[in-house]
Amino acid sequence: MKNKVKKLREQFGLTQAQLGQKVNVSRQAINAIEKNKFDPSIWLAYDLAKFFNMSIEELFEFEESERK
Amino acid sequence: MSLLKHPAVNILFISFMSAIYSFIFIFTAGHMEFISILSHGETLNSNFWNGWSDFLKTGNMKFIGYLIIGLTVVIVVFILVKRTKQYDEYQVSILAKSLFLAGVLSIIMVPFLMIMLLSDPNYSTETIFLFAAIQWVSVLVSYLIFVVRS
Repeated sequence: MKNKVKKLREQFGLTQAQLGQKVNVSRQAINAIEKNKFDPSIWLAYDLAKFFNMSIEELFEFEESERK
Repeated sequence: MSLLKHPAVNILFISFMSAIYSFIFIFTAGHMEFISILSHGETLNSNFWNGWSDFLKTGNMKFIGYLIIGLTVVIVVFILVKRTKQYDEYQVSILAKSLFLAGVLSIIMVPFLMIMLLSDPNYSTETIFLFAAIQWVSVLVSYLIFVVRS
């Protein structure tokens, strides 16, 4: 699923490990999400969106992602 | 799969399975009845299979058992030292995929073992032990890489 996590994380000046700590997941999980290798659960997507102060739909690009 | 979140569950699973495998490899090594199963007079013209058969006959398979115990101890120590919280959903997904792959390989191997057993039952014990050794040592090495990197 395409997303803006990497772009926003860099804007916030955070490393993957730091963002992982903020939403209570590993650096590997953030890395996999950024590279579109892993689709997070709705709970993790919510936590990420909340951290970046936006909605899940704004953070994850459902329209541009391939339909599952 | 949510059970995999808990490091203790992973420790219990790995330890339990390794205990069974290592017991088989160490207990049967050099056992008279086990050696008698392998006494088929090298009916197959294959250096690999006859070499593997000799390896088992001489009781060296106990070293595979020791290797399994060693790897398991290292994995458990790594989990106890490094793992202070539950695995996250990405790590659980990797663990689940790994277990699924190991399970699928086991299922696929059953008919292959049957074919080999039917084509030459003399070497069936060697085949089963080779598969068991490769399968569980591979699982442990994969798991070790996972716990070191996570």
